Amino acid sequence: MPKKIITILVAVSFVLLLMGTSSALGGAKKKGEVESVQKEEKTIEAETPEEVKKAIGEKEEVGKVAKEKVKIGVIQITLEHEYQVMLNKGFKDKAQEMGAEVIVAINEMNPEKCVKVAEDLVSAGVQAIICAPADPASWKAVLAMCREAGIPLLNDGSPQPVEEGVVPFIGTDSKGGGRAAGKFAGEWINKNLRGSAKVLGLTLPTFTDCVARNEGFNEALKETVTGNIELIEHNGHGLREKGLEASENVLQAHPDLDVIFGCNDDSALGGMSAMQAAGKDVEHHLVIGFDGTLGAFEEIKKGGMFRCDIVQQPYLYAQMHMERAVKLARGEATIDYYQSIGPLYIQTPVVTSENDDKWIAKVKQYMPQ
Amino acid sequence: MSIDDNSNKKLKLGSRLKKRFSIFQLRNFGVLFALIILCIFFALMSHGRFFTVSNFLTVARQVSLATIVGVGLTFVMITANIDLAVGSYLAFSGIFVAALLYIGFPWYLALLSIMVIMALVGMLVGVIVAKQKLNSLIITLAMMGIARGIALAYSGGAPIFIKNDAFISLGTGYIGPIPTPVVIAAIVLIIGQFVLRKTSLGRYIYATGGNEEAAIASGINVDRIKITVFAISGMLSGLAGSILAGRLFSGNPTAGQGFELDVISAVVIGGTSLFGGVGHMWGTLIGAFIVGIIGNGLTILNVEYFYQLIAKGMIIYIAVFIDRQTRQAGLRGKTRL
Repeated sequence: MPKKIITILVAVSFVLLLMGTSSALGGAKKKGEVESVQKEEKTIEAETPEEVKKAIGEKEEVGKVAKEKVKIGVIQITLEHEYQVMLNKGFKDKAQEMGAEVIVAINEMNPEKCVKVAEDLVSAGVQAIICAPADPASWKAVLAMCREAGIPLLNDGSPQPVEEGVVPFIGTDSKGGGRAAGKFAGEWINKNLRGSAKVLGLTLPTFTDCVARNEGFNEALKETVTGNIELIEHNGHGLREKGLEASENVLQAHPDLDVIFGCNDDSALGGMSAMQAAGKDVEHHLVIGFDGTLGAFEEIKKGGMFRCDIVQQPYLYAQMHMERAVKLARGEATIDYYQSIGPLYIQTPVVTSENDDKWIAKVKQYMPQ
Repeated sequence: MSIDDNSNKKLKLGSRLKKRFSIFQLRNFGVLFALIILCIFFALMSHGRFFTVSNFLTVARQVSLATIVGVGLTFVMITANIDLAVGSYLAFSGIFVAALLYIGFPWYLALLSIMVIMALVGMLVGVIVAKQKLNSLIITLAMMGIARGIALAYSGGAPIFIKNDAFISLGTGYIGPIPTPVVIAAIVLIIGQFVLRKTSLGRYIYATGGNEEAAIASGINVDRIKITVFAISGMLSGLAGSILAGRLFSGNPTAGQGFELDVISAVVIGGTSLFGGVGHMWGTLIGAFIVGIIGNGLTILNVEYFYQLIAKGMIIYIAVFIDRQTRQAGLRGKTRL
């Protein structure tokens, strides 16, 4: 019997201990809130690497030096998304163009897998790693490993603070893109709904980029409209079926919903299905997406309520990253030089019925046949 | 009493040397053979990138977590149970050990505390399985969701960073030229094999899984054995979770997703029966190495990710197939050890 009592006492004391840590932690950081790292910085309007380089004044290499064969490691979070597929093609095309070998590894958004594949890449003898981290923690571990191995690390994926030994972020201006979407929505509401509307924002709170997109959208929307906006936010998990489910539930509570903004195309397309199923008419309803996927462009071309998509340019980012990685591996550039340039936020083109054909053609070119 | 033990006794062993060698359970020679073939294949294909000391240490460090957790799971599986919650335990223990360090626990006390907590969690599962006669598959599946959920809810989905250098070196440090996690895994493995082979607890574990009714009839407290193995599994998951937290510089609520499947693969490839009564630690070690080497080797060979998934499945099948064939061949030749 005393054994049992001791066991219970030990168990209770540990539970109390953990509750203690909980309150201590609670004071130190706000839990459950991922803040966007992106600062207010100038963004670059570009659709090709040349345009970006011109904008930042990066010096073009003079004369062709003897090219040694280099090996570059790439870590992507997944390959099961159009964005990631285009990114993948950008890496490979650029590597082929520059005569480099590329090894792609997938971290499945799993922190320990991210570290594991980074180790494998180091074993495989890569001379630079382009990494989209599974989360901030695995980023730190991969960085430590790259420092130990003396390999430059390039930041793809989410903007992180500029750190020693890291080539800073190149990618989407998420907040600016969100603002562009908010401006479009606001102007459309002014024109078609007399300036007042009920708006659903489908979010993805665990993903910093998506948090910034929704922030930008909400900001610009409120600035643009002339009447009242009732804003509802719901987690769409970044997935079509979850976006559909969330929108259906919101439509139950708010049958008079007018506008849906999805922080990515999949959740927005799910939201559109829910609107259609609820029998909403096309003229007085609007859906906006964010990503630049073919599915979204085709909806815009159809002329339904999906009227606007904010475009990310993974193919461009991948080319930039790969070029830098190869140059670093060959010793033609230094990390310090790229750090002096700082992170590059690329402006997000807005696709509407006016320019959808151009973008459909462009994206088709980047998708593997 | 396991089948191996019986067969070991029946055999007339020629020399002491041979007897020593039987520690490695030649019944599992097949799976070792598969591992060697795999290594030779990768070594030949990788232009010298695979077969290096540094890559060996990398793989060893990668499989150390699966080995530590695998030792616990081997105990559980020999009793004809299973523990699906081990992956979630990694996240759970990582988060709470980071929290303990945050409030100022020294590293050894935090590690000890989390191992005790996880042993208690394991005990709880064991009590439910043993006393309420519920299937461990479904109970640990439930526990998998609960532990992951608590880790996510407590941390709000974000990692909790660790600043304690001594603790971080559990995951990233070296003892001499050997990575610390490898040393810890080796110690756990040796203790595990000792407990299984040389103690009465080990014999009771085999008996419980081999034939539970017979075990009860011979006076073994089967319930206590079950509670003990789940407690061991929980405790070792806590140890592995702490090492992983050191490795990631943080406790991480998303850590260890799908990890349970890797560990179960390792244990089963290593010759432990899903139906209990059979198995040992060396097999689990070899199984962990096979699972680990596949991922490492395929990445070094630059195999495309989608094909890696296919290749992984095929290699696991082939490993088990080779194991089975060599065992049967051994039986036919009556040289089975």
